[in-house]
Amino acid sequence: MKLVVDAALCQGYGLCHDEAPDLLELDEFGYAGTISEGIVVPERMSAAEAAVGICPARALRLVD
Amino acid sequence: MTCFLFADGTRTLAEFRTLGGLGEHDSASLIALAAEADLRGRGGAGFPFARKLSAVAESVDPVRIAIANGEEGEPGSVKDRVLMRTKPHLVLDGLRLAASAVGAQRSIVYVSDIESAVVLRAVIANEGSSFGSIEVFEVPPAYVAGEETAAVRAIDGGPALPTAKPPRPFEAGVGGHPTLIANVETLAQFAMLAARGASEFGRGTLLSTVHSSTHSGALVEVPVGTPMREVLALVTPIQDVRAILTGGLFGGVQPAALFDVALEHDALRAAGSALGCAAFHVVSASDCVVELVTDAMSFLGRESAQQCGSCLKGTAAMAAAMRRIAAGDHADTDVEALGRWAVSLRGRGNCALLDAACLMLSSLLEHWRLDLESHAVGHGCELCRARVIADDFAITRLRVPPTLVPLSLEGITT
Repeated sequence: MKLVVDAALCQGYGLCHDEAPDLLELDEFGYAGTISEGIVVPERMSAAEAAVGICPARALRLVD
Repeated sequence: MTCFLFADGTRTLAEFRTLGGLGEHDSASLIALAAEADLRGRGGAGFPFARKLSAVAESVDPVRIAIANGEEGEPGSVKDRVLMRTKPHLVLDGLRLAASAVGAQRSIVYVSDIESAVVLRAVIANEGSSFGSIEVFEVPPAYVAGEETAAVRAIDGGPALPTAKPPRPFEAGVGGHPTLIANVETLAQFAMLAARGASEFGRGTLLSTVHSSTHSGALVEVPVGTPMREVLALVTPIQDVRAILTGGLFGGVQPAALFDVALEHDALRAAGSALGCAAFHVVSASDCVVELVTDAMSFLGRESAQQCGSCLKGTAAMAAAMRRIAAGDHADTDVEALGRWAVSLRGRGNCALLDAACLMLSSLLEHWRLDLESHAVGHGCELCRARVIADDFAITRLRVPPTLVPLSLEGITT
């Protein structure tokens, strides 16, 4: 699975980074981007799902 | 030479028909032709056209759309509008063939240039039966309006602004259906390929806009793979070329070492640049690279869709830092910040505008760092100092003219 950030929706809350700091990083303006092209290994799926679920702007999603 | 878009024999629809245009081809043979010629998209990314066609043709959704993208937002490029205004039948035949290859029921030309829209509508009205049903969709001009997801969004009734990928239009485009979207030059090349066959077509040609601040610009058509110096030499003495803004604003500001690179996507990418829409702005020996990049960064900042936070804040910060540096009124951290943003903001927007800004900065830092630092400490580069001196009549005649930054010797044809 791949984590995708819709950069136009991201409001820079930064909550996703707290959930999965190894999958998402914030730029110096506070906006989220994926690490390693967003690829999520099976053992990090629950962290990725938590990051998707916590985003108040619904800017994150998981795709095949 | 009969294969060239602007060669004799393509002036009118009747002439093009004599050349073999408007023929009937089945889907599989059209896709095979595009694959055999390695036809690449001419809009900027250079994606293999056959793969785009196949992706839509193989979709399980029976409703499909084909779009000719003629929205040319790149300020340094005129090729698409000249093509649509003067050879509309090539674009329309390419769209007809592409629609046939993917099984599209709806075909649209997406365009902002008013004159092109008038010409296309006239040809469709007069020769409609030759091309099937084709709509012309007009969009207000904007730098990001030609991005493929922006085109889909506009045709669906929204703003002409890019969306996050995936999905790409070939998966879910207009109305959620698989959509083929191809640059108008790609389609004109495709029409010529189908008319003449793969062996005569070879790899086709490129339409390239070359412009210089000191010499007049030109639209040229050259075979794919032509060395860059041959194209630059058409508008300016090659020894007068100090740097080149390549690929419109998408390939960075590059030095003379790039002169011998072949004009094709893979070669320019390997050289750390980009072919983009094959638009080149020649920076002459008397132009300041720092001022030019400041101009380019300000343009990108203004043209940001202002959708993605990283792009909105990033391009504004980059342009502001460049303006301070160019004016010699810099903050201590500006040069370092530019280097950091050039790397950390890559890939952070929904479209490629922010990536273009990052490559512009990284190429400036890699190849023109001395000029940048000289500006940053308030001295200006040697060219700017020369200009200040030349403006001061009292000093001019007493002073030895400063040496121009020499062009790299390996970049000069002997």
